[in-house]
Amino acid sequence: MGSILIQSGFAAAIVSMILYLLASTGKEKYLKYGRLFFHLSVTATIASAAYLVYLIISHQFQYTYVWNYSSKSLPVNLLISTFYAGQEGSFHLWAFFMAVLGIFLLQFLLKRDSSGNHNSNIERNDKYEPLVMFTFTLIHAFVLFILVIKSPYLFVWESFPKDAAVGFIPEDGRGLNPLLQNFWMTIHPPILFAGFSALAIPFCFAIAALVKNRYSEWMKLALPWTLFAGMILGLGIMLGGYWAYGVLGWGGYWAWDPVENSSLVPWIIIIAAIHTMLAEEKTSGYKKSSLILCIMAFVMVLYSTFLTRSGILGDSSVHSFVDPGQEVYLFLVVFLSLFGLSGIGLIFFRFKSLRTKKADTSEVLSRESALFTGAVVLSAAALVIAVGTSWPIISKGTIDAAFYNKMNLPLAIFIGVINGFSIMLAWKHSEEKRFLRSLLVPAALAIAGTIILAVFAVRDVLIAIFIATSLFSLFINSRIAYKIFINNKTKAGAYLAHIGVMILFLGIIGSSKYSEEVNISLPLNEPKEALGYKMTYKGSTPFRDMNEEKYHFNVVVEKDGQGFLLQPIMYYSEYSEGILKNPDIANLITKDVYLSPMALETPKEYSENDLVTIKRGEAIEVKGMKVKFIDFDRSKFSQESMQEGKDNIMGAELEITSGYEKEIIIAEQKISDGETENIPVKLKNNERYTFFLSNVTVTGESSIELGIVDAQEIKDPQAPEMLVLTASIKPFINLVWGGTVIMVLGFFFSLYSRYKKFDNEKRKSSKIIYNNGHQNGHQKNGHHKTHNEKQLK
Amino acid sequence: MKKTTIIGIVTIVVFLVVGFFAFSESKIEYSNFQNASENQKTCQVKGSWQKDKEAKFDATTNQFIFYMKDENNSEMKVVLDGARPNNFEMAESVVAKGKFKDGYFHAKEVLTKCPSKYEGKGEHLKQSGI
Repeated sequence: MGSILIQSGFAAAIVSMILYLLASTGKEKYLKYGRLFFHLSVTATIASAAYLVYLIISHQFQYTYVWNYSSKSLPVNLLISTFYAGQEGSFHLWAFFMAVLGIFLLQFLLKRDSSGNHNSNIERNDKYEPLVMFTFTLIHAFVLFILVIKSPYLFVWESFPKDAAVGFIPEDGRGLNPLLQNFWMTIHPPILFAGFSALAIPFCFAIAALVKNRYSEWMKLALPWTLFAGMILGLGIMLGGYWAYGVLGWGGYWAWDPVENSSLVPWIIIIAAIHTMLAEEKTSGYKKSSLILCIMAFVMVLYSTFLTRSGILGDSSVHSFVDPGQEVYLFLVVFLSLFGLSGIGLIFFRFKSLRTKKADTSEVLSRESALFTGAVVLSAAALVIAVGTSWPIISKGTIDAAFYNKMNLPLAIFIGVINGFSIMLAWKHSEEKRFLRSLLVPAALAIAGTIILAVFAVRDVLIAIFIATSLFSLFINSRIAYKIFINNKTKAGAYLAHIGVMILFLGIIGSSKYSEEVNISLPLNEPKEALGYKMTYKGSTPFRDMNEEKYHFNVVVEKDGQGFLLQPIMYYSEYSEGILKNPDIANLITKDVYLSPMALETPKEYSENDLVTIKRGEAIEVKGMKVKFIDFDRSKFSQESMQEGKDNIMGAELEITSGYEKEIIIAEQKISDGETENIPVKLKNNERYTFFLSNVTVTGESSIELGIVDAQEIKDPQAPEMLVLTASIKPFINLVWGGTVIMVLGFFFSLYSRYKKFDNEKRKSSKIIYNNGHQNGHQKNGHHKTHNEKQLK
Repeated sequence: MKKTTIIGIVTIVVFLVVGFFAFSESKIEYSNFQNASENQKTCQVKGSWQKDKEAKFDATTNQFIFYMKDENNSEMKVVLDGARPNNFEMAESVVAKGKFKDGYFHAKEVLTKCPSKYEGKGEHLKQSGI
């Protein structure tokens, strides 16, 4: 049933797209049907999503996707989030958000097209719905097509015909990767994908404007969506950062990883687009820039999808990629190049008509030129990141993360300056003296603040300048925001967002440039000094979480008589067949103390508890295995070399039966100069157990003493253990989170005030239209005029 | 207008030049131990961990020491700042990022490449059967 839903959704999207295309050529009768099929495709997409969620919740493991990513033991919220744990599902999440946003977009367009939110009668019938919806359904169809060729609804016997008979239902699923088993998994991917989907909308408006060759209105219509996309994507990106920092223990919130970068680039571009769109709104210039940026933002979404989904970056990222197969790879290339080329091609095609009249270009000292410069700087940052991220495709190497920091630092400095300036500048023309005077106070404050910081800590000139410009912009924005806030709360959005960004900048400086980090080894109960703190490892305590046996490693951190307990976590994950680690953080207002566990070192490789004695020819049950000592292996052993004091190896032939598998291994002991060294040996197909030949009795009744170590038993009560961890101090990291929250709030306020404005204008204009309708009688006049108008242009 | 155009162009050129140098400076190429010991540049070397040689954590320096064979089969001691990397024992191959120093490869980071476990295979299916 799921496949049918997907396929019919895809088919309906294609039909709807064709009907909208016909409608856009003026045949309005198709519009109705276009909408109908669009609703069909949206319904099918949402129904398919609901169906997949149902399959996951009801544990239908005969579906490969359900079997592959979920299991019975997961709690409901994580169970639902397995929906997007794999490739198919995350494409489905994208399709789902396209569908949901599509409903709102269509409503928005219907309202706009019917009420006629226009300046003149001529444009009344100049509808945006057909072309915008044509592009939108085309994108939706593409995403759905990926699901058609890589369906989440394959049965296990279809995916693995050799291994499973038709009708086979696995007992339980493989489960969710433990790295993904936390709260952030339930919110970060949906928000990110909602942002990616929303970025399609400004793109659709830009394409519609270019095809129509009319640029007076698209920007007003697209701006609220652009703001929405910027807000959601920005939030999604930083949530990912918080996840990496707080749970995964990557040490920081940002590592310039390809996956992180490829969502950051579209965001930066859309932020640039917002700025040129504002400039366009006030001056009706900068059309080209807005169009190019809106198109590029979405093209970069597709490009990042290609980078992260095609397996092309497999070697250079901490995120794991699965090769999606040839079809999907090719399809992604087609997807990317079609939209990329047609978007850029259209701009070239319309280049002449897009030329702004020279008379319109405003002075250098105006807010619009500052906005434009800001957009250029943002685009430069996007370019730097995009080139760095793409490098592994061109060459075999990678780019050091330092490159991004080095290149973006001056750009960020510029952003602070330009932002501060632009707010003090008036539209079109500013008086030089007044402008400079208005900068005086914030500049003085910023310099004073920087000097204070320089006295305490800051030694790097560029960093000092960066701090100064961030403070400068922060002061200016705060002042304006405060003034506006008293009158009308929602109008302060833009300033609030900038305050957020500047606080974020300051947080980034503090937490990265002035972060201190040290690797330390803490023997049990032995205090050590690190980063000005006394740290003592007090042993580990087991606990159960998500059906796994995990261990808290208790570290007491003390300073000036005050102490707190940090409990980083390590545990053996059956799923990953390895040790997984979570950091623990003490949030101290001005800084975080961050402990990231690295390893637990035990001096001996096995303890008393791991030892067993086996007589020759006998078998014993130990740790769930049957271990039989067959005989000694003397093939590397000789009496002569023994007497000469040369190295000698004594072996014991063992037969291990674990489950249905039987294996013969040789455990060996190296004897040199009277010292014996036990050579660890493992089973061929099971990394979990390590065998040590610890003692050999050859005389009398032959027997061996065997140490069997289970990798899942991390804790060793006998041996004095040592906790190895990376301790770091992250100063002012709270500014990073606080700044992000303020920025998102700023976006939200701007969006809200835009929405209100749009609503008011529409109400007003619909009244006018109503009156006009009575006066003019026939609406068709307008239609003809539209055509004339088009020809004139 | 003219003046601003010139300023604009100069800025772009400066940006590109600075960018180019920063870029070539931060490139980390794949290399092998021989090249790494000759040019002493930061690079990454792919290879495999030598399981028969020692691999231990030195608590006094907080470094992890192991021996690695690169793709040309030349072997070198690798000293990593930090503890034993994740999934070290079962890695098909390891990538060490760092530079040659005093007779050994001083790694800032060691990535382990493991057989992908994120997508199920037929054999797993059998195990999860009844």
